Amino acid sequence: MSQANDAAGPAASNMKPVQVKLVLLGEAAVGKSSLVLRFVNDEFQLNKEPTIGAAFLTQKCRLEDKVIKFEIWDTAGQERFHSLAPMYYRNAQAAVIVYDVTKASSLEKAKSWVKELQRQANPNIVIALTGNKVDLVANRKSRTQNDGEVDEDGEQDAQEIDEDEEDDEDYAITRQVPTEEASAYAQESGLLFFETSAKNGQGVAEVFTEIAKKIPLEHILSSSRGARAGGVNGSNGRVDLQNGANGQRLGGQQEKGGCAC
Amino acid sequence: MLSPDMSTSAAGSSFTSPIQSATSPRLMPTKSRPTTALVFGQQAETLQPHLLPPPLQDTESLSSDDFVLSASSSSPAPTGTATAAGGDSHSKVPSARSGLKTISDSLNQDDQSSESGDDADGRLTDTESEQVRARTRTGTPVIAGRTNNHHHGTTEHGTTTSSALQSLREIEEHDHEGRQTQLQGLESRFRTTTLVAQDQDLTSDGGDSTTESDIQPKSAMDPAQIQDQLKVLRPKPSSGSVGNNSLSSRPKSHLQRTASMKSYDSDDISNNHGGYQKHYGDEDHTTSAWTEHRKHFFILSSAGKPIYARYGDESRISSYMGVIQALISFFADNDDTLRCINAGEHRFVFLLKAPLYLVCVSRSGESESQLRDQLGYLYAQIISVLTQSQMTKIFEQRNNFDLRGLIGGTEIFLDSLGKLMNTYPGFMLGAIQCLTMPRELRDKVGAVLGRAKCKPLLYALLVTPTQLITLLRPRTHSMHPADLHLIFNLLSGSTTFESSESWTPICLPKFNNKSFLHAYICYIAKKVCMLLISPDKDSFFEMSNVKQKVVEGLEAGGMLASLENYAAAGTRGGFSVGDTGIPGLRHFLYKSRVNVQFTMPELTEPYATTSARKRLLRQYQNMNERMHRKTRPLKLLFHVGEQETLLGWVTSGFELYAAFGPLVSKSAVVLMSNKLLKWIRKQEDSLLILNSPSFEKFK
Ligand SMILES: Nc1nc2c(ncn2[C@@H]2O[C@H](COP(=O)(O)OP(=O)(O)O)[C@@H](O)[C@H]2O)c(=O)[nH]1
Ligand SMILES: [Mg+2]
Repeated sequence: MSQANDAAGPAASNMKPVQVKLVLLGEAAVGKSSLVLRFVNDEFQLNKEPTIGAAFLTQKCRLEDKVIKFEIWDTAGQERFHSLAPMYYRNAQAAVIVYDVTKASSLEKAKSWVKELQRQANPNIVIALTGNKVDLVANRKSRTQNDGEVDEDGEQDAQEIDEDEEDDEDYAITRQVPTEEASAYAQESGLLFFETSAKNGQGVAEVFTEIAKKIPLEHILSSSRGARAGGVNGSNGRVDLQNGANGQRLGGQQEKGGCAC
Repeated sequence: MLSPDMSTSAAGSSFTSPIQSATSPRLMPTKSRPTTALVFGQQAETLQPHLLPPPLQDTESLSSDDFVLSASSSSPAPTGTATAAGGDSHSKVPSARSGLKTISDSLNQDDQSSESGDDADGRLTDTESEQVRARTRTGTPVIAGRTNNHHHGTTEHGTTTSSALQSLREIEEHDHEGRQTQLQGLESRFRTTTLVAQDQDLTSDGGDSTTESDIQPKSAMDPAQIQDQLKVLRPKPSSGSVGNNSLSSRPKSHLQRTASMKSYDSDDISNNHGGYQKHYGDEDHTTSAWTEHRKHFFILSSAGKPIYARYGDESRISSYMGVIQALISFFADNDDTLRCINAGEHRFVFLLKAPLYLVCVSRSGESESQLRDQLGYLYAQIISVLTQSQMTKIFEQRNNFDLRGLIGGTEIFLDSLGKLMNTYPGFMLGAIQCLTMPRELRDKVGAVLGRAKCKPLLYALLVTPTQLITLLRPRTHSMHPADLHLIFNLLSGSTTFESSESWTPICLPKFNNKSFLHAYICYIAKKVCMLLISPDKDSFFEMSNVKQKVVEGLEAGGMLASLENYAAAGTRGGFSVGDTGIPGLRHFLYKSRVNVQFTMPELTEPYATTSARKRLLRQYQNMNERMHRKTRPLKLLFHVGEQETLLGWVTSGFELYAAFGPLVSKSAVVLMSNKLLKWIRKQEDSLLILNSPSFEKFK
């Protein structure tokens, strides 16, 4: 875990990182895994295969004078895994709830996740609502009516996408969730709000940065010595285990992490 | 509410109660039935008669049929030992096993006719598609076209020519005694399924079932009628009505009602449940490209709802599903079970596992039982994401439930399983492949695993996606190859595990089909995947810690790098056939039945192309099928084909299938095979895992 600290700069390298447990929730195929992989490895894969169960990744970042270690649970969106979700959000300090801006139903699913978290998760949990895949609707206003006048970039983008998703009506290039609608909902529910593209990286780092800013880091630091319950491993506060959890393999990748913290 | 409850309370209890696991026969490396489970503790040298596992015909059918529950299983046993009988154009060799004389003699008459039927069948000819299967649905052999086949000589030996065989026979005779007692156990175990087994014989391809044909419910449906309905199945539908018509005169049954209720044809096209595009998902079922696929798989609910189709969008072919459902319920109304329909070159195989029906429509030349085994694997794949109990419960609550919502994201694993079963002989052999590597390294790696174990750890595996490096298990539990195949398919079917540590519930049906275990999955090097299985859903971080310790241990010993090298070599094939130093040998499959493992060399020229590989595997499959046929299994099969000469050799200890050049003589083949066996024996400890590490779980 020491090598990852290098990315955070020498000043921070001897500091104990603040561990932030973060969970990603949302309908299948909205791009949760893609967002995490963009954040952690700065990579993107078109036609990513579905997550099975849940994936665990970590990423260290620096925010001002602190080092933050995100411990990220990327859950599978499929219905059959729903009953497992509490095990991942139960002790999370932050949740990123993702929907797909080109699929209206995914916002509804996101809203139901918000409700579930507000009912059952840690009451202080920081929730970020994230509309992903904005690259698909780049240069278009909400509910585009003016299909005729796309500029060059948009045109090119649209063609590329046409090839990828051509026969899936749900992925038509039009935006189905207007920014204002989702943003208004986020505001009234007390959520952070972002629009992102895992594909081109737009907005991804901001999501994690803003979350880090909003989380009471000092509080976590002081309480993490006690019974800081660790998501999946229940209440035995296995801080050491979690440090080691990600091993050398991911450690190497952390240097190029897309975190702007 | 619809989502399966994956809480581990069930898993936990079933695991922690040694009593319960003790009652589940396949979990235990019991001495009575060792080959049903992967028991590594047993060494090849233990081939002492009294330690022998029950001989192949029984254990094979036990492990595979038990799996598929088609349960044709134990019934064949008494006749199953009749070796005897020569090919049609060759001299007949008397049975070598005197004790069985009477049986084989009494069978001789039938054998004669069925034998020629077999040849007409073209089962052992070279290319898999060229022969139109003349067999009728009733299982009566059709003696047609046999003249075509004379240049493809097929000799089946009951006696042996070499001394190696001589000594093996001794062992087998001991087997035979062991088997008789074994059988009684089997019979009682399968008591509940023997009824179905009878049905199966009727439709089975054996041709040998003529003696039983009087049981057949001839009134049920005459062949022409079946043909009629099949026609509906292939071209465009207008089918729903046909299915219903044929049913209308019959008393209304539960199934029929649901069949006529199906109205989810056009407006219920809710594909893409997992949000992912299936590989062949957009293929149009009205095109010839769709009908020309060699092997279709369909899965539907017993209410007729589409669940999965290998090709095309399953919801758009729901009319076909309706026909399938109608066919099945037609037989069900007569308290009968539809198992197989042979129509021209197509074979329709049914596996009814209410609340699911699985159907294969194939012109690949594979046998009915091979295809049914494959359906069984697809079924197991579904169970592995849902558990049997969840699925039963769901359909009890809502018979019309659309399962696609629940198994969303699983399609890719059904797809990959379909592919794997066409390329990986492990399914046919009921055995797993190990990574070829020096025994010392394997042992050292195993020791590192053993040191890292922790309390909730049940199994620890290191695998290249489809080859086992080592397996750490509790002394009281072994792992069934079928479960391992599901794991191999999980890992090779998706790249999602390569980018992180993963934690997922998984049901290993042979271990316990009622509850979930939890799998920690992480690649520790390229192509080297670590899989830790725990009954405790909250043990992710403990598992992650085990992995960490193992990685450190392997790195300290410099083993991780060499593992990676062997894994890279292993995915190419591990070793080459040239390593054996036998010039005429082209390729072989060797299965150690004691270890439930197989090995094979890299597929090089002339099997470098995909189609040549497939062809070779089909040849092996045909040999395997012929040798293990329930009514007249063979110990030796010498087959001269157009492109190669093949030898099949089955003993109580091993199965060998070897391919030689086309012009090699029989005596040369026997000589080379003995040489090959010697070579394998010498290399055995790097080709196979002879002793896998285990630990005491409950102490
Ligand atoms: N165009 C575009 N495609 C994306 C984006 N994020 C994800 N995808 C694609 O959407 C599909 C589902 O992504 P995945 O990350 O697996 O979704 P998850 O199920 O929520 O984890 C994949 O084919 C991705 O390539 C994005 O920002 N833009
Ligand atoms: Mg995902």
